[in-house]
Amino acid sequence: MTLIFIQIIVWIILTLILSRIFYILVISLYTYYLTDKRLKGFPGFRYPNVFGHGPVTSAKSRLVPYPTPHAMVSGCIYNVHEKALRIQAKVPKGVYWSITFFARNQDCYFTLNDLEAKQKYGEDIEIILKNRRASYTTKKNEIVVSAPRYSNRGLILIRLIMMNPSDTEEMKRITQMQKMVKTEVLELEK
Amino acid sequence: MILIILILSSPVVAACLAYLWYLVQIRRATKGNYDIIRNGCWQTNRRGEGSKEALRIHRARIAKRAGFGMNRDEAIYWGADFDSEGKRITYNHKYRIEGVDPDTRWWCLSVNRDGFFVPNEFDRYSFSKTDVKRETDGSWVIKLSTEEQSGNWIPLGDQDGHFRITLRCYNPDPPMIENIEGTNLPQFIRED
Repeated sequence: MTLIFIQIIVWIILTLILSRIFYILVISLYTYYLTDKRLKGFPGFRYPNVFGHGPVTSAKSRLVPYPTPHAMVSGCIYNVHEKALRIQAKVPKGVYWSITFFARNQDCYFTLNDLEAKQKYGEDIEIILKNRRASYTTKKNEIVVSAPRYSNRGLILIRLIMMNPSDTEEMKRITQMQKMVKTEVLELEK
Repeated sequence: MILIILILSSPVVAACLAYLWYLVQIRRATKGNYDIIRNGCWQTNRRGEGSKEALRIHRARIAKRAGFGMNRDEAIYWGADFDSEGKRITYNHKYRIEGVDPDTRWWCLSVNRDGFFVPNEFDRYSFSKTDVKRETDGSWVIKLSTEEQSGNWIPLGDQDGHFRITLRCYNPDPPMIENIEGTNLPQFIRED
């Protein structure tokens, strides 16, 4: 009798632990699946590691729900599985600017905005994105970012916010600023 | 025999329990009262949209509904589905949003339906800290209606049903982050 009772208690504990593992596994895989599905909708999905520049968001924008009004967004789907990626950008003046890196589980694992960038690195910034196992010798003024586990593919977004969207001159200026970002694929160090 | 039955049934029961737990969590998360901070008619995720502390269920919800939100130091996303009296916001009413600038570097208030801007002939979906017209004391009023109004007016277009207001606060100041439940946010008032 005691043996059966112990077996049942052990069974309950093991089943609860197993159900927790199942839950974590399924919810995580579901999040990865949804993120991957959304990334596949990006025009640059087939050509990773290159930035594409979007127009000002409008009622017709359907790429990402809840778009930021007044924003011009540049997106780059990165793939640093076997290579590293160098991102060179010029931080503009007089507007909100930020660069953010997203993992497949929706973590925003790196953010740099215009104020921080100018304070720490100046107007020209250089970011190296690599996978977490790769080694890289940091050079002066480079910001080295490691992609988190299971996120050697992910998304980089640059948001530029127009202070006055009805000002056509400002829009032209910001469109030029948007294109001041370059990427370069680097071979990993052996 | 009993031992074999227990061993074989454990993964099946565990899978059922995991699925039930998932249903409970997703229901709580989508009802909007789970891990949420409320401030008047506004609500936001307690742990931030893109933060490492976000719960798994919220990550899944964010991935499904929007995706790629910034963390709390960079942006706080407030949403309102109800007016200040707790009534659902619908297109067949006139509304007024009044307040002063929230404690943030830049803010933007927009009207959304199913996650996208509400189409209108003026292509106007939002007002922000830099383009809102102000009173002499710095306060402002934003009007929402289908009929044209003077001042800061966001057209609701030719729609039925309900919509959502989103208030984005970029680079929130420390008072907003530290006192998120008590920080000063605009009032959302139904006029008719």
